[in-house]
Amino acid sequence: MHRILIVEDNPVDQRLFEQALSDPTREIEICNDGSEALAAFERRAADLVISDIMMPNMEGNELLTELHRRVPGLPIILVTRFGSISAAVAAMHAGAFDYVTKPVEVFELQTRVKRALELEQLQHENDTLRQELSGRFGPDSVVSESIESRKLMEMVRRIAASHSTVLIQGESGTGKELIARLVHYWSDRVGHPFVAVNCKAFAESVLESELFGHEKGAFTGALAARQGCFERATGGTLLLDEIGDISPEFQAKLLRVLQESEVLRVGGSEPRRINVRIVAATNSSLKDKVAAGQFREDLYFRLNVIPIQLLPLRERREDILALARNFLSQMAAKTGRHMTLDPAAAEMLLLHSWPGNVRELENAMERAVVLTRTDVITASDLMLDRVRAALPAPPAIAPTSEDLALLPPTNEAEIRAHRAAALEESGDVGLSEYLDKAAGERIARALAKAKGNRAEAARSLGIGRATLYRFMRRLGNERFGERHPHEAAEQQ
Amino acid sequence: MREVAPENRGPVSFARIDRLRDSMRGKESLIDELIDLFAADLPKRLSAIAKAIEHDDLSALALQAHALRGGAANFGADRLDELCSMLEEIGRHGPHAEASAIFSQLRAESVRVRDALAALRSQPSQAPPAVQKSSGNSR
Repeated sequence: MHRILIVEDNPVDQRLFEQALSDPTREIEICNDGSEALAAFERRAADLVISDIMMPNMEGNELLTELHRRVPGLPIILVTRFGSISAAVAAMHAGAFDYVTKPVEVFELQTRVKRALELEQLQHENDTLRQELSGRFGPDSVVSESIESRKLMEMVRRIAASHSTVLIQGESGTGKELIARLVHYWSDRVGHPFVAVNCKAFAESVLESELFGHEKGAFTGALAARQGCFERATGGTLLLDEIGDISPEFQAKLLRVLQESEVLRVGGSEPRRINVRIVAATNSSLKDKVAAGQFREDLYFRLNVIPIQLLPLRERREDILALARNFLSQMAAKTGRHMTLDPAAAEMLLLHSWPGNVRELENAMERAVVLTRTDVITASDLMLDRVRAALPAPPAIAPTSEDLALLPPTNEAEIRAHRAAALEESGDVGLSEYLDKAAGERIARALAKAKGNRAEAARSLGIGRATLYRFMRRLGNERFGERHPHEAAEQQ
Repeated sequence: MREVAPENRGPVSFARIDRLRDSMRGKESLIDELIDLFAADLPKRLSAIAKAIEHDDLSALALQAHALRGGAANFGADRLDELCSMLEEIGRHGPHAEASAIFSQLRAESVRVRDALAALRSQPSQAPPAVQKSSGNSR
């Protein structure tokens, strides 16, 4: 419902304006002068104000200034006398959205009001989207608990300030598109489009038209000319996702576009200049593809100006709980709930190997929010075992000692053998040690912050006290100062 | 005293009123309502203008003449519009010596406008096209 204030002191125009603009989607209030209009606006803001320029108490221009002081950009249509060009010019200079002349032509008034309300609606939507964007891609919007993630964010910040081409590599679900968006939203290209295209999603002939555009009649079905992604991203950033999957022929075409900074639409003869920052992303190693002769070396070097390698979640476990809580609060906010993780669920999240990375974690949290009957997510709500069972092959990652502890003793020897084999195969010998070190550092920090209060430290770590004691015992209590009485008793 | 163009036209514009009626299709009674509002407002405006002239209150004179002018313009009452415009100008810039004489003309013209509108009330425009053209009121 749009609220319109009509500010007019003669009753004929009041009634005429009201009737000309009445509509079930509008609420119209008549005010006799500027003071009444301000009072009406204070009572409840309006989406549009239509005001005569000359009125008792307060002139239209003065009212405009007062209203704009309250709501900058509020659309105001001023009404001037026919032929009074100087008044119309002054009105526009003063910041009026538009003006109409008296005697008012009803159709003209209706058209201008419709346009003002549409623009106001667009402005409102634009503001909402901007707020949403600044929330989603603001400097503090990305969860980066681990040292690796914090370093990555710092690097993205520096990269965003440049105009260089970026190549993002990482496993599926590690957040390549998010990083590409940050590169865009943290750069001076932010007011321009961010266009993402998944190169793997199109057949080669379609991909060419999708990226470079086509002219009318270029092929059967090309009923009208169409801009490609390069043109649509003018002034902004173009993400070429799954770049490792394009054919050698298309690699040659893309290379030419990048070298020349020009695109030629399919069926076109006039090259068009492009001003686009390229961010390419892939979940495969382009270097390996180059070595295998599957990817052009010259294109690789053209794309690999600033490389970003995203770590899988299992190699930055400190992010897991922070990310999980972030997803949880986002999802819970949609339903107006406040949800927490119980210690066993937190522990299970830390132990899982996350082959699907952050996307898998997000899915797990969404699943848990849907399935839980209370506001506390338990380990069983996560259903990670079932998901893991459904996976085609186990991840090539060594289970930690906690993994082993969770399994029945009869399986332990088998698991140890598997672990040894996996370690040998992957060469990732230091993972357990690495994780233990990271956990130890976090615990030590939390304990120091809590001045040795274990309950408080456990709370800040998002785990139960028993879990904290278990970790401390395993990592060596002496690292954390005073021994726990239970431990002392056990040793006696 | 400033010259007012000789009165060789009707007090209101039938073409203007027809256009207004056409643009408010489905709200046919609105024109009658606007005529009633104008007629009801007229004595108050004339009285306020007379008072402003009497008290040399120039800003009140400009405001009241402006308001009357706005209402009258909707019916194509061009002569009344012109007379109001003169008073509005006097209200803004003076001199006000001529104000009383203009006001006398304005009062007479406003009666003509009111009567012409009263005759149109609840009736379609009755002027034949030829009369409209010769009246010179169409914009």
